[in-house]
Amino acid sequence: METIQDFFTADHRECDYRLADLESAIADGDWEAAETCFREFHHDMERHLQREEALLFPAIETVSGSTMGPTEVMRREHDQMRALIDEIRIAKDQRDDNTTLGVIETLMTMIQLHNVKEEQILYPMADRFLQTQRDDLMEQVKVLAP
Amino acid sequence: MNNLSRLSLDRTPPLWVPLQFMAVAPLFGVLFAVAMILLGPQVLVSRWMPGMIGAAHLLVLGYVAMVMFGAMQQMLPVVAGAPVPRGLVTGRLSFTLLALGTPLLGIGLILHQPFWIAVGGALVLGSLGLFTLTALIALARSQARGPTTQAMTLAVIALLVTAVMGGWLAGGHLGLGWPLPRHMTDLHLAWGLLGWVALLVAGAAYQVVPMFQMTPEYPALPARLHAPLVFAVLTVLTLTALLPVPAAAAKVINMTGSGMLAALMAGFAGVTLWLQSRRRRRNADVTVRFWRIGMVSLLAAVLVWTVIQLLPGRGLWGVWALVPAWLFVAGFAVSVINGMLYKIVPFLVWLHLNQTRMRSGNFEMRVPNMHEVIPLGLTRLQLHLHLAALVAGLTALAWPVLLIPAMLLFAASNGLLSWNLFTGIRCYHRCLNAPRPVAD
Repeated sequence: METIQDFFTADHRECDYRLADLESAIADGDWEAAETCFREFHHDMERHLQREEALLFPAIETVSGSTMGPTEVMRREHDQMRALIDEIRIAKDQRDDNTTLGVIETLMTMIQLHNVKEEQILYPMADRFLQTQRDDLMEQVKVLAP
Repeated sequence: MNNLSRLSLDRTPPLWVPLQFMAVAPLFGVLFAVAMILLGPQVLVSRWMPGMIGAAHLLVLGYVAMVMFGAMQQMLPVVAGAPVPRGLVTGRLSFTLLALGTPLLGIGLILHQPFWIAVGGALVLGSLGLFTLTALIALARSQARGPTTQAMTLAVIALLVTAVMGGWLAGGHLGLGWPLPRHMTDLHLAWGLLGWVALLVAGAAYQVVPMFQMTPEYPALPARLHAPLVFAVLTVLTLTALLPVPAAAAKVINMTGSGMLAALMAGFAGVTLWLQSRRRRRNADVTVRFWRIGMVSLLAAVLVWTVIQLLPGRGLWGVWALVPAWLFVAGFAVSVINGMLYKIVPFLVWLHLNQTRMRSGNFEMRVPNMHEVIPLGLTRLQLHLHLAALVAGLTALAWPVLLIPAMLLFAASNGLLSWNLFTGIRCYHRCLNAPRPVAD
């Protein structure tokens, strides 16, 4: 069975690529393509965040006995990302390419540093602590639709 | 289970901790250029000129070590989940010691003033000792166990070895009575450039190149083996020099070892360029371009060095020795660091402003995006100045009269870099102090 680390890391890369494609579309001035790219990125990103917030984090919090540990920090960073995605939406709707690209750069950097913490520290720990329930958890994660 | 709930992923140090190092570092680039201009073209005769040795220390300690200290103060808590012990105090102390010691040591070396070499050297050694010790403690505590942590750990140890050898050499020059074999200088140089600088960049690259440029990952096995191999070869070369190894055997070991180091350096640069050519983010921002300049310079440095080794009457003598040195330090190390600063500083400014907004609940506060922190036009201009300085510096090695224009370009590039970074800091204070959102 797939590890938490492998599945969620691959999910990160999917979201990264969607965001990179959005950036390219806007840099090319192709606003129609940007519309599609944004929708796809937003869909995948929100699904990833919910996979963590609704399923993975509660499982971690149950075994660690605390909701104030690393998952709390991750949830807070998710909210910051959602705020930036909103900024992108607004700037894109105004067809303001400079602002859109600047906010995308900011979101991209923030996501990458967030991912490092999850991929290097949180997921390996989750794999260790959730070993017995992992298969059930991953079933649920895969079928979740935002 | 406890270590899971205690694990902190939210320990960003205050903004001034990394930024004090980063904003000041380019000023040492300016100082290096000024020193070279004052020394004049005759300094380019050989790498053994005291002026050249002093100026080189201004650049590697004042610029490269300075940014490294700041970056690791930031990176260890955030990425490795392991803060530097007593971060605020060690940060301030290692910064002050390095910022004071470097110019004293550099000027002491240039002017051959034993007193200032001793004072500056002691301050620098204190700073390096404090930094390496605390960084190693943090790295040992880190939960992250990837090739980045491994390469960084070896880079920090290599810096320690470099510093010890530097202290030994300085002691010899000061007449403390111990021997000063010439190969000690070569080893000091090899540990500093190939052990410390190159492994530091490699460790950062494994993390940063795939992450920010969206390239495929570095191939796993080479990334795992690169730093340990470089470290092992340097160790063997050092032991060969220090132990009574028969001359014939030593020659074979040295040639094999040097060849392996050259191949490892070129391999790293080649793989990085190959990965960058396959990146998903098509926009080549200034950071990507600085990285590319850095990797091409590293390849060129290895190539020139190899050619020199194969020439009859080989040996790193005269002005030719300075070509790979300039390509490595200014072309490779300075370029990569310069590019990274344009990612790190705008992001940190955004991060701290955003955290302030969240914590204060003042959602009216406007937080600029990364492109608004430092104007992109000025970063591009600085990239071009840097590239021009790099080429002019190489030209000056062939025609020494061009040293002054080349160094003026280098000073301008670093002056503008410092200005740009201070612009980011000013942006931070402006946003923090703005009572009302600024209308666009």
